[in-house]
Amino acid sequence: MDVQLKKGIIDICVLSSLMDGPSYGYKIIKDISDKIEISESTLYPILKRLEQNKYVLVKTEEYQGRLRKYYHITEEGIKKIKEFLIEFEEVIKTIEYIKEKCYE
Amino acid sequence: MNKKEFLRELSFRLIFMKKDDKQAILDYYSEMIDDYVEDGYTEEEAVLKLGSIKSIIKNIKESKDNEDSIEYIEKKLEFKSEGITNISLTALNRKIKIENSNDELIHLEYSESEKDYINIEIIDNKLNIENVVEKQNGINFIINKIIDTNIILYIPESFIYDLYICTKNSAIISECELNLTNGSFITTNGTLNIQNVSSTNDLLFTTTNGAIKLEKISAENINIKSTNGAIKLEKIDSKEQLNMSTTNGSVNFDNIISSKEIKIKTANGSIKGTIGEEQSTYSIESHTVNGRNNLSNIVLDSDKKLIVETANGSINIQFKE
Repeated sequence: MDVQLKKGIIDICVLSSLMDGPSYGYKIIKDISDKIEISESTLYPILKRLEQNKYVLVKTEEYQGRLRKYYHITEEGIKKIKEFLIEFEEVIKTIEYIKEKCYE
Repeated sequence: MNKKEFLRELSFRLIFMKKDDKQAILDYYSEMIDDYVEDGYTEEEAVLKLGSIKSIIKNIKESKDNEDSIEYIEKKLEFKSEGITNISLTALNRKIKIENSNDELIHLEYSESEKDYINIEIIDNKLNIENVVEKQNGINFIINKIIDTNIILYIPESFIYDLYICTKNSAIISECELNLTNGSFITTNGTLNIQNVSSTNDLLFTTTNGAIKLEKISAENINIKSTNGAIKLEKIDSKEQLNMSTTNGSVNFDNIISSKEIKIKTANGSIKGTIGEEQSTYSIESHTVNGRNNLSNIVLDSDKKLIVETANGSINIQFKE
């Protein structure tokens, strides 16, 4: 997949995985790795970016005697997903047009 | 690699990063490994799952937004070691790590900015690496208080000459094999953690407010000096003089040997350890004012001596049976 396109989708994919509730790095990868190619080293910058843009809120909590960072989606994060879906409708329309031109 | 080794290695490779950012990355990977382990993997397997440190760093750099880019840029240099008989590296506020190079070249990895840079010159047979920090209003430019700016020096195993390593306010770490003529490892306010160094002449290890930890060191003369730090030694072998002194720290050792003289001195710490030889070969001069002393002073006709001195600590030295 095109790098720029993938970068946009992967951020939203990580955000969406938080819709069911807060999650942490290891679990996020487990949850979405069958849907999109992701690794530990690519997730880190994504989480950082989402945090900087205030799409997620990070809370460090104690878990079995160690610390774990839990990522919570914010209102802005939810808004971002919705915006993405609307924008992507446009992309889908464009793809439909491309398909039409190429296959018919 | 286990978790500790992985994090240590990653920490070293993350040069030119803000300390907070670096810690966040280390926390992230530490948590990730713990989660893998909880899921039934071993630490080693977990580390393998994370991919190479090289690719981790590549991903971090690629995603680096302009806003947190720092004025430090990373540099890698290499020099022919042929003909070089003296390497000198002096730095300020930078941690120095020595490693063996895989080829016959001397490599240097570091980061620098306009106000905190590295000057390198080769004069005759000497490679002189000097970290220059510009002063601002008479105060040293201290941005790297918040940025880790390590220097990694790679030396080929075939380099058997003089090495001088000096930094301030930071540590020196060397675990690789070094076979030198003379070696000096000097810092202030930092620790020295040196292993596997042998020298045909003299070795010097000094710090002021840090601990000294040495392992597998051998030389003709070995001098170890700290002021407010503890000294911890293992497998030290000197052909002539083995001197160690600190003022406000303790001295601990295991298996140290000297063919001539061992001198151990502290004022406000205890001295404890094992000499790797039989007691009968040593003349002993030991003294403490306010502590216990398990040694009896013995004068022998040999020039092999053990001198132990402290004021406010105990002396407890055992000999190999």
